Amino acid sequence: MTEPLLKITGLTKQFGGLTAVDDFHLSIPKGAIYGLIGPNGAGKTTVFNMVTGIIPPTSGTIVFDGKDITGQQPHLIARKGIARTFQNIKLFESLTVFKNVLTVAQAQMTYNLLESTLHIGRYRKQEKEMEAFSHSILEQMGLAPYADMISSNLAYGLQRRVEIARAMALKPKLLILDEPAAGMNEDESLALVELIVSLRDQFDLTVLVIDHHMDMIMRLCEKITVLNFGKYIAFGTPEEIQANDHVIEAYLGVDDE
Amino acid sequence: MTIINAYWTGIITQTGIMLIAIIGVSLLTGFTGIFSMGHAGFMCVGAYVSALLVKSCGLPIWVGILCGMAASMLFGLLIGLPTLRLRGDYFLIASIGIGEAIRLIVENTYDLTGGSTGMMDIGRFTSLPVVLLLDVLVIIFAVRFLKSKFGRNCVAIREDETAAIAMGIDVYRTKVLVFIISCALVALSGALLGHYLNYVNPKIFNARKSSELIMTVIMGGSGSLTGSILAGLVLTPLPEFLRTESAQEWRMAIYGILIVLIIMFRPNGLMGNKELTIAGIKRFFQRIRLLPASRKSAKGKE
Amino acid sequence: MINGLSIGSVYALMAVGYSLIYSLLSFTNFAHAVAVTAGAYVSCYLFMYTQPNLLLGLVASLLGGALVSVLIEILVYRNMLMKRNSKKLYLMIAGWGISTVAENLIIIFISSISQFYPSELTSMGSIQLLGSSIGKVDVIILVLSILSMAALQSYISFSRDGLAIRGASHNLQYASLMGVNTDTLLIKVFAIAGVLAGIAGLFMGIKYTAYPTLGSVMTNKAFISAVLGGLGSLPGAIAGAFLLGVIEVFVAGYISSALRDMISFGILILVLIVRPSGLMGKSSEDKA
Repeated sequence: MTEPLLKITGLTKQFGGLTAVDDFHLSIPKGAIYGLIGPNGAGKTTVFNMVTGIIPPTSGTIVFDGKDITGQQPHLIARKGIARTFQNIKLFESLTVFKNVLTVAQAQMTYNLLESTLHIGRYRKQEKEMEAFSHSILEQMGLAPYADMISSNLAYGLQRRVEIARAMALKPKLLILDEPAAGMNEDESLALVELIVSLRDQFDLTVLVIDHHMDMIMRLCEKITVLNFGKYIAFGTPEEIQANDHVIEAYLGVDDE
Repeated sequence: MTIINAYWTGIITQTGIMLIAIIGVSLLTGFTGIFSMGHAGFMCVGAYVSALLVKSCGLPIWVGILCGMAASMLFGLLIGLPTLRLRGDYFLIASIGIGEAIRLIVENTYDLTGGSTGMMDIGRFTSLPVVLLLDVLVIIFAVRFLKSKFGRNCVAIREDETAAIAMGIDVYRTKVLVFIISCALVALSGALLGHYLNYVNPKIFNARKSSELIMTVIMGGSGSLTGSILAGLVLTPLPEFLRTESAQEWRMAIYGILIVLIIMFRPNGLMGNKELTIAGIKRFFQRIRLLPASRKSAKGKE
Repeated sequence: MINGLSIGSVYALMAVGYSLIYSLLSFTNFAHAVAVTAGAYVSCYLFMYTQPNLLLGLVASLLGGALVSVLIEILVYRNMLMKRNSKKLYLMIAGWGISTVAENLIIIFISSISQFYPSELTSMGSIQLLGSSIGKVDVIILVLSILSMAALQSYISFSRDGLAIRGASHNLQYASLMGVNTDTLLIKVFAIAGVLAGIAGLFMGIKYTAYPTLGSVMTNKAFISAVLGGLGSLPGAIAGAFLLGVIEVFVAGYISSALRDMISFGILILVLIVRPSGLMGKSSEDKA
């Protein structure tokens, strides 16, 4: 058994007196697609925000790729290989699809201000390389026809796809998707499942997904963790989760739209 | 004939000087989305440091100007390091304090700076060719900055700071960088102005000057360098042609109204280039169409 | 000391208005200054035609302040608040634009020169208390300011609107879901802030004369107070205002009056850096 790519232990977050996440734990092996579900307000996004460093945890540890990343600055965590999308799409709205991807891909550029001002040294070569790289990502994600469109002009489903493309530009090891199918119809979410699986296979990726679309989660994920009121209540395969009494109880009367 | 020429040369020179400051603020406010209401303070630093070095140490004026820029960058670094960690609205408030503090320091160090009367005979240096040359250099610098990863990082921060940081962009470092660059540019402009007028006083760099800079950039269109430049070219010499009583006040009042209208209806600015405008209108309609869809997704919010 | 408290109490009137609006909409209302200036000018003009009467001035100023404040809310902020994605920063810029317009219109249509209040109000003599002489004006201002704030406090604590305001300050969206009409609620809140600003304007006018930038100069101080106490916290704003008033008077009295404003800005920047949530504010973390 190899070391898991992401290992979360004892993760807790308190806002004021309120405990949003309580003693959460999860390990994801490399190459797996895991799901995190739970009713509204269960603390799923809070877990994501702690893993990506947007908010610091109150206690607990997060180990990624063998290194402790607990409480590190978010941009450093991102550069270590954790990329994410957001529940309420956060694209660079007034930029084109291509610029959205390029802006993230450039994390790999190493030229300095002098080189870019005088257009000497590494500037031209790196700019060319990253432009080609960004185009190749758009190509792979079927977004090439939209490359020059302003991202906020795209239809909702496409915007979700652009957000994933942008995350892929970081060359991540772990991709975290926060409700990627929100606002999508049945066909679109089916296409999304295919896309996520193919990305995993092509890029040697590990994926963690939150979503409310139970169908999609059950179809996509190998293992699922269930949160309720900030507490971990179940973990298992989709079949196990569907049969779990605690989970059924948590979702009873909750509209899982 | 020569009088008219001198008059026009004066107007063009002053416009050219202001253009440098406007580009500095454009990079900071228009492209990075950081609103600093105290940037006249950094013009003041540039002008006074240069004036002092030239007048009391006898340095050549161009060295004085470079030192003024360096001093402003250093000062900007000292102030930017703690304050740029603040949220945007808190930074804006702090920046008002910074601008006022600089003015008050100058006014209250009479022995050194001449207080509110200012300093005379600081040396003339700025001429039209010099200004035009510097304008070209500054514009080239700005264009190349914006076409580099640095400029794209700035725009990403303006568009969505959380997304930018989650996508590996060092938001804080980028903000400090662009803040210092804009400090250098406005200081250059301030020093050139001082060595054009042959005097400096704190009134030249008051809160109204800060307002003017930021208003010009907003009117030109945030995120459009050509917009900022155009707005600067049109708006800076404007009071020269409106030589009526209380022209300054009318101008500020009208700017104010325009700013409110622009912010209310087209926060991306008025005079973006034509393509941008069409795209803007399209986006506006698309948003309306998408509204039901986005509401639906908002329902699933945690 | 009384002088400091009296200035502090006027800062508090304005700071409370800032904090109230901030607690609901979490943006800094730069146009607050306009309501203060309006309060100062309304009474000043009124007294040119009538007998100077403090009570009459009070009513006129508070109406003037409220009117201006509500108009700004309806004409400008409401439009912007309805838009999705409208950044808080934009609201601030709009408010700042409004106050720029107002200042310059006053200069154009009235004058840039200070307008004096009738001497019956400005120099009422002084009273002897504990061996030191205290200006009557200061005492009256202090008492009236405290009364106004007490009235506000009881309104927020005991009335139905107060309940709605307290609820909305936790979350405006939820309040509207719970059946609170946020449009009228916001009008009321802006009216309250305007009333306090108008009163503050009158007092500032009496103490320092009415001039075009009175509002922005004074609301800067009020703003520092509100930040000092923690934006959005009413008791914090009041405490911060008194603290600032007293500090200013001491600095002006014992060190130098030129340093006074620099010290207040220095305090502002220091507090923002060290404790952005203010001395009494609760720190909050944004949810991404």
